[in-house]
Amino acid sequence: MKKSILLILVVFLLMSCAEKKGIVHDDQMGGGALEGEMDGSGADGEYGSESALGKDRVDGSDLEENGFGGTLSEQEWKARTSEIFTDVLFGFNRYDVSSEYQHGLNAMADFLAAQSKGMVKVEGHCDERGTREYNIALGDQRAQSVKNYLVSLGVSGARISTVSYGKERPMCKEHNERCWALNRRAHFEVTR
Amino acid sequence: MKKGFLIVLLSVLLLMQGTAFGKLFVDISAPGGFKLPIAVVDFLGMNEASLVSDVVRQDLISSGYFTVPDKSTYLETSNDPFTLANWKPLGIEAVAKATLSGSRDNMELVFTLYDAVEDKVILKKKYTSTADLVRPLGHKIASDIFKAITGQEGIFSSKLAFVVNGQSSGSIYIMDWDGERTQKVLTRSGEIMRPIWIPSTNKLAYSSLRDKRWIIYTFDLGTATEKEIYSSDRTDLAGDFSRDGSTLYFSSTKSGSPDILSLNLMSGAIKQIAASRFIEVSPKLSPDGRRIAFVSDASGSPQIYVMSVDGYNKQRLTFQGSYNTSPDWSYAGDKIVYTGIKGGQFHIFTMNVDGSNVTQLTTEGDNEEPAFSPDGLFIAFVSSRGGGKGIYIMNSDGTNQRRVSQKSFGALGPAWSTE
Repeated sequence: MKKSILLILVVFLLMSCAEKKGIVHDDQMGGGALEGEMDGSGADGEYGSESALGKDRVDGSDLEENGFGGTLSEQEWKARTSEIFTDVLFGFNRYDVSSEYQHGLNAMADFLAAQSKGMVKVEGHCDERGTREYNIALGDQRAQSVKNYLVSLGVSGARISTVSYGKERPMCKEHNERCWALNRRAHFEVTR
Repeated sequence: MKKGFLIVLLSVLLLMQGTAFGKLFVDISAPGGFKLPIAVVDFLGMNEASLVSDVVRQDLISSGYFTVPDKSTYLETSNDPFTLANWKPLGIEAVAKATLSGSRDNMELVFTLYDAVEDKVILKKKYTSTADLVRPLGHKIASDIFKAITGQEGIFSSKLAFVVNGQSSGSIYIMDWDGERTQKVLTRSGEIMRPIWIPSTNKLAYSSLRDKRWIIYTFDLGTATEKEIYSSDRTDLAGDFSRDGSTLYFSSTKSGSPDILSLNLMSGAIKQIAASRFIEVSPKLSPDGRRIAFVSDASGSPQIYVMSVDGYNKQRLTFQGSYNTSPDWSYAGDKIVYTGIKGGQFHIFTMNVDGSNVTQLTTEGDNEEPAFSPDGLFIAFVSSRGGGKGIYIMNSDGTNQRRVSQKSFGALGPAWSTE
């Protein structure tokens, strides 16, 4: 009984937070808007963690104290993370996060806020077109864009690591537009 | 391992009797032009002799500057005295002969190059070698022939390092320029990017993916020792070395986005050379060490730029197409080779260092990672033509394209040794 009231309270809190998260990355803004944020922040993970957005969020550790955050079984954890942490796709040569992924990234931030122990590895991938070395740089920037976005939503930078695989590890092996689109991605590995 | 680099000990008996260049002339600045007909008569003596002459013959043909008429038409063997009348009717202008004697551990090869136009000896030389180094001996002789006739050092003894990446692993191999004597020098977990030969050393530098980070390493080929030289804990990509081997130029995400930095290996001093919120990657030093070619996406797409070695006077060079990356300078510093996109496919291009005279060199498959040979006459690159990736070599004008790495090997990232 008491638990379900808590649960409702938590959901309500999360929803109200979602309203307040401000940053929308619109395609029309091009790479510039996002790159602007990345520029100058220097230390990874610092950006946004001290911001009003971050402070506004429900603190994950509070939730755990209330007996919620840590209660997901291994199975539930797997199901939830694979449902929430779906690939963010990018345009050819692009590393700005398209506005269509806003809701998905919000859900990831919410999940992480509710789980005190989750660590996220963001992998940046590229399609097979383009040169190997440039694609390592491009993949790095894709992963970094996604990390910056999550940090701007209040997720601690310390919980997110990034890695670039360039075009070295394509998920989709065919040589066509469909596969290229699927391979231009930020992929998530979430561990407890 | 080290043996491969020693090549052969050699001693000069008699060098250049008469005028070295005589009437024989090949214009190396015009590949695809006149090819000098040269007879490489089967070398005689020990069993290994004919292999040496095969290597010489193949090097000269592969260079694109010689034709070697069918040896069945020759009227002389390496043991017969040179007689001009035997060669003139065949239109042959130079004749190479040699005899090999001694034991497998101590071979002696006496080589003579004749001018079949002016009827004289151009080069007579004695080489010593061992049975396991007959191919390097052949490359050395071919380089000497090349120099005697063109006046420029031949690069047939140079080597190519390359990478083969497996599932989450990477290996570096070294092969001769003709693709023979391929040997693995290291395997590690984590993919490897294109290696760099560090000038004046017996070392390679490269970036490898270890524990989710791209870290820059050196590998000493003599001692087979790997050493980490730089990591920002994220993405650091080795670009190039100064001629004296003291300074590494690389890209690093140390400050957020990939920037170009230098690292002095002696002092450990790090200098920021080009930094912005955009991608700056793939720095390559000009042969005179004064300029850096690199790739930036500041314009919205990756393009090639040059700047001074201190990071000043940035100038964009490429304006054709939406994707131009992986620059490399020619030996003379007058050309830059790079990868561009045309008709949805990736091709190798050259241009002058002011961005003019853009020339497409490849037409088949996707091609990338071009590298000039140390003399600037050849370009190694990766191509996917014919299915499966491999390393190809062509002349600097795009003629004479051929695969050199073993088929289905998946060889990537060719790097030409500096000598």
